[in-house]
Amino acid sequence: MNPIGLAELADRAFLEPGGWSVVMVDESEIVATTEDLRKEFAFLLEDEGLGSVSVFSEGKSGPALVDELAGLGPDNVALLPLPANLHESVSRSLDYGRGRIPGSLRGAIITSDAGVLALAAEAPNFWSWIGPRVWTLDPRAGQLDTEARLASLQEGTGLSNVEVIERAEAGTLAADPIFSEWLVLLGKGDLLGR
Amino acid sequence: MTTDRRTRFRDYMRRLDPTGDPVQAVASGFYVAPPNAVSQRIATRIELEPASSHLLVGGIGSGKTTELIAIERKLAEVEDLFPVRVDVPSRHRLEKLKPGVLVALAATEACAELKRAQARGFKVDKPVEQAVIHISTITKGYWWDPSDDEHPDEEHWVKGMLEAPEPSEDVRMLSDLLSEVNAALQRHPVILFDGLDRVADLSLLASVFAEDVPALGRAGVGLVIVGPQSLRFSPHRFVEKAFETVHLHGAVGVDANEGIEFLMAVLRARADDDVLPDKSSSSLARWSGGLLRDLVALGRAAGAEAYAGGADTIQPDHVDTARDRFGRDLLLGCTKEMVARIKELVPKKHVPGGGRRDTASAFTVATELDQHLLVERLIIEVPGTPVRYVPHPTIVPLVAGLGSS
Repeated sequence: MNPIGLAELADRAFLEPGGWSVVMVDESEIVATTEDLRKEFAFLLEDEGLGSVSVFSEGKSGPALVDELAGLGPDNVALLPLPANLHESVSRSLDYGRGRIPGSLRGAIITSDAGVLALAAEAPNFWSWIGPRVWTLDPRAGQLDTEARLASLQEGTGLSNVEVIERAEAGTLAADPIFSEWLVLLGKGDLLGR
Repeated sequence: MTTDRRTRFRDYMRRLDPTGDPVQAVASGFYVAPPNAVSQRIATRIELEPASSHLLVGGIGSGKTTELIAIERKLAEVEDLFPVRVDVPSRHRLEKLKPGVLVALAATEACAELKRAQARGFKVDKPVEQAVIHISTITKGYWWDPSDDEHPDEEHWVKGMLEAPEPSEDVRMLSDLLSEVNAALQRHPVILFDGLDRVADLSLLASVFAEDVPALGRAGVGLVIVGPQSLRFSPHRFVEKAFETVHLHGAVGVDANEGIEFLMAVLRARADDDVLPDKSSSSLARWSGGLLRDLVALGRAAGAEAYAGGADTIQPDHVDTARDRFGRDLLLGCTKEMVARIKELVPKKHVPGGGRRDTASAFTVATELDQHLLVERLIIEVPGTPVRYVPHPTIVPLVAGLGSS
């Protein structure tokens, strides 16, 4: 299982048009997690000036769900809370109706471990599109290990902290979210946007 | 160096989108013919026998739709053929599949072709025009007002208990009407039905094939149908006899250079060396197990890792993280019984006595559990002589740590 924070999950989803994720939580947390995810995606969509988040209410039948998904725009995000009583019917409909869902629509299914088993068994085609995007939520995701993250950024880019600050001061730092994050971690948020 | 790194990675992700329109992907030059491409064999046969029927079966994510598109493109170059690809689930609810649906879809396409020809000035006889109207009535439905019936009180026939095993009357009627329209067409229709590999009820699917395939043959329609991998292991496999040929399209063997080179070429058609170097591309090819959908899914996941880590290119350690996550997610769909079966199949380098255990040839699809392992891609089918079965490479390093009891 892959633990991840809500913000990173939403960020990764935005990198992949057409990417569908599964968020695995306790059955009792499906509704609350869906709402938390809605807020994250709404924030990102507003930031990017793109579509909107569509949350599908619990209790909708599988075929009706696919009909609604088919009508969404390519820049929207679909959130599907999948409780135990709908595992089988929704999974089967997603498998049958995959071709009708807009190709670049991003989506997330919020369900329990039993829901994941049902998706794999009842919707093997849809399951194959999900690939390595089954996540559990990491409660420590907000508690960042600053030193470790800085070391990772230095290793990934080949730049040092000093070089990043110098480029930001000179106004030559690329407009890349990781550099914004880097400056904030260094306590140099005032250099953002130069 | 990192100027608009996000744009570069987004472009990489878009090019590697496994959910994108496959027609667009093929048209954009992303199609790379696999070794012994099944599309070439089927297209060549249809060129010679336009009314022949072919069943194409294979595992999930092995690229069957892409092969179907390749067939369509090859046949489109033949002057007297008009190939049409029909994604059945997009046109008819699979929950309501029944005999006659494929004939109805084929008849609808033939009528559409006739109307296009008429728009270009092609004249058709009155009976053919009536056949087109009749097809529309049968396929789309119609209002029936009982008060219009000329003899409402006339004695009517009550069906007996016994019914001879003949094709349904409406299927036969549609087939006759289609035959009439087909005879008026300037080009032979070849219908390529996609999406029927998702039908879970194999008994129902077999009944559809048993009626519709011969009916379409009688109407002179060429046919390629994508069917489910599990049909071959079910009691309904007899229905394969309704087709002239059956083709297995599975994973590409990753233990041979030819297979690895093909998979790397698929990636190279979509991603340049400056984002995805050869070393990482080769690693992705091996971990994919030869399944195209898994290849691009792994490529995307490795790209996401590289982007999140601030890197400019996808390195082997990004691939390693991606394949570990991929394997763990594949195993999430496993029951305890499946885990126990997989453990029996994963190769052990050394067994008591010092020999190597060849699990690939030891596996045969004997039980429903084995079929589940195939359908969920935990075991991959590699066509050849003989057909081989291998565990998905991404789960092999993880299986030892799994509990099965």
